[in-house]
Amino acid sequence: MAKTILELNNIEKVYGEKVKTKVLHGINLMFSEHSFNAIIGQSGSGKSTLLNIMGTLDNPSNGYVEIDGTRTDRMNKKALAKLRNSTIGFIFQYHYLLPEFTARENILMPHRITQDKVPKAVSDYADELMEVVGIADVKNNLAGEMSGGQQQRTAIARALLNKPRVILADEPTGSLDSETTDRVYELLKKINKTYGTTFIVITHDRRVAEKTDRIIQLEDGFIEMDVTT
Amino acid sequence: MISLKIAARFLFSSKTQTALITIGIAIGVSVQVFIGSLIQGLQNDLIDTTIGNRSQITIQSTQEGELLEDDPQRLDALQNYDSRITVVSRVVESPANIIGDTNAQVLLRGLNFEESDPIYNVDNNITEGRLPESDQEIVLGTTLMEKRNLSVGDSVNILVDPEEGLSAAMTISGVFDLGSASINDTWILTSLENAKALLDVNGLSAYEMQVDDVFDSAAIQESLQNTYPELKVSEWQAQNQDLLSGLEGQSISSTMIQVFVMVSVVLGISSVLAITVLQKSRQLGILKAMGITDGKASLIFLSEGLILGVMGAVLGVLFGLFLAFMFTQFAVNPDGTPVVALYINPPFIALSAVIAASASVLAALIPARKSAKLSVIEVIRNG
Repeated sequence: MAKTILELNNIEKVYGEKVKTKVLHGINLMFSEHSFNAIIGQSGSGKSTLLNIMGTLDNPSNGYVEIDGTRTDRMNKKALAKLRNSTIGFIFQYHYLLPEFTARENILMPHRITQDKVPKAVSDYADELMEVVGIADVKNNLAGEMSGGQQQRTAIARALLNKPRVILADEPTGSLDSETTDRVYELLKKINKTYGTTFIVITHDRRVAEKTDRIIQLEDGFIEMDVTT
Repeated sequence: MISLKIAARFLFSSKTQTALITIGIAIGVSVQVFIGSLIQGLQNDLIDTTIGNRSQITIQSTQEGELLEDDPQRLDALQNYDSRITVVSRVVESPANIIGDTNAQVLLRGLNFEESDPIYNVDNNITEGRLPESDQEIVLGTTLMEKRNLSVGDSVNILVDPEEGLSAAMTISGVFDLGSASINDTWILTSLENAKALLDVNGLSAYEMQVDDVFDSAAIQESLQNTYPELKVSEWQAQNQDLLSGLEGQSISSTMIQVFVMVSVVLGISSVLAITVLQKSRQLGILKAMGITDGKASLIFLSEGLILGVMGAVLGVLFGLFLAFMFTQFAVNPDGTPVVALYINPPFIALSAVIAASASVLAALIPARKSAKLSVIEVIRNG
């Protein structure tokens, strides 16, 4: 059996002080290393909240997250920042590149925020990633000078730079057309196979979800369905 | 380093905003440099006019009218007493009268012109004729010459002791203008030896001194007084309290202006950078999601403050010097000399620049704290 890389234990999330809204109800999930998982559900079902909690960007109201066997609720802010930098890669719906930097600089940023020098191996890996995601010819363009698809592929390459064990992607193709969407998912699958990276992807597109190893469906903060395809 | 690089990119990406805030700092620094140079120039001018051509420390006998021994060893000792003492000049002086149609009260002063030159600079201020070279020669001030209707080469009778009737005929070898109406009206200068002979004395009335930094005079006076308790050592500051309080008032007002200018610069930078944190909150969110620490996120804004401060300071110093230059070119007396000779003091200018840069970093502290507190989830949620 594959090793568990990420585990959610009885995760609950409540928003609001006076009027409390519970968006996650005791979620328990385990994700195996190298797996490709999809989380689907209606808008407001709690998908993004769950993903943000997995990525330590948000805290659960109850329960805890374990990443590679370590409870994140017991880590301080600095340790969490290090964890996000080295173990987790994020891909968001709105690519979130730094517009002041070029594609290549954006890709190298996860390395550079922890170390000033970029060793040749890292630089070469960035070039390799750009080849893999197909943006080598626009590597010196500022983020704003690229198409939406190119920006999203840059964001994917950036998420992969520090060779994270887990990639958390929130509607990574939400702002892309269907043709580009297919290409991006093919790319993610290829990366999953090539580098063994675990993917947890939120999508509202059932067609996309069906191409993954496992589909988890959320509804009103509960797990409605959890199937291995 | 990455914080500095991100800061530079952030600033470079908002060129107009960066240019405006840099100009704001530059204007603050330039005002500081200009006002500081102006006030310091004004003060130096005032000090120079008041005591530049005067004895700053004077050693006399404790008994009024009593003379000091003209001892070469003492002169030597005083000259080597303290490296801050630049001039020691011997003087013998006495009230006197010019005998004529109307008697004029004057002060006969015997100087060794070589020794006293750094103080009075009589040689350079001779407007007509020359310094006394032989016995019985004197120089008079321009005002006295005009009043008595005298000319170079004229002979005047000088009465030095009315009781004894001690008088002598002296020849005017030249006319001086020492820049003070009262000195030009009352001083008669002659050589030390001639004055001694005329007054029939061997001693000295005083040793007159100047020091390198005029404000060291009090400390040197105190030390000299301790060394020579049998003599009376006086210095200019004790006798010019009004001038000193005037100078102090000027310094305080100058400092106040500079402080308020700097405060407004700090507030300006702080508010602009606070807005920048909001503008860049999306980028900060991305960086935090990527794992940048709160400390490094804060450093981005401190670096922005530093970059703005350094650019503003450099530009401000250049602009301030340009202002100063224009002032000396356009604010001039009829003879073409500047109304106030500005004092360009490099350490002061460097200090102004360093203060501006430090103030800018200080101003960035609040935005830096704000950026550290920025919640990444808020940014992600709000897109």
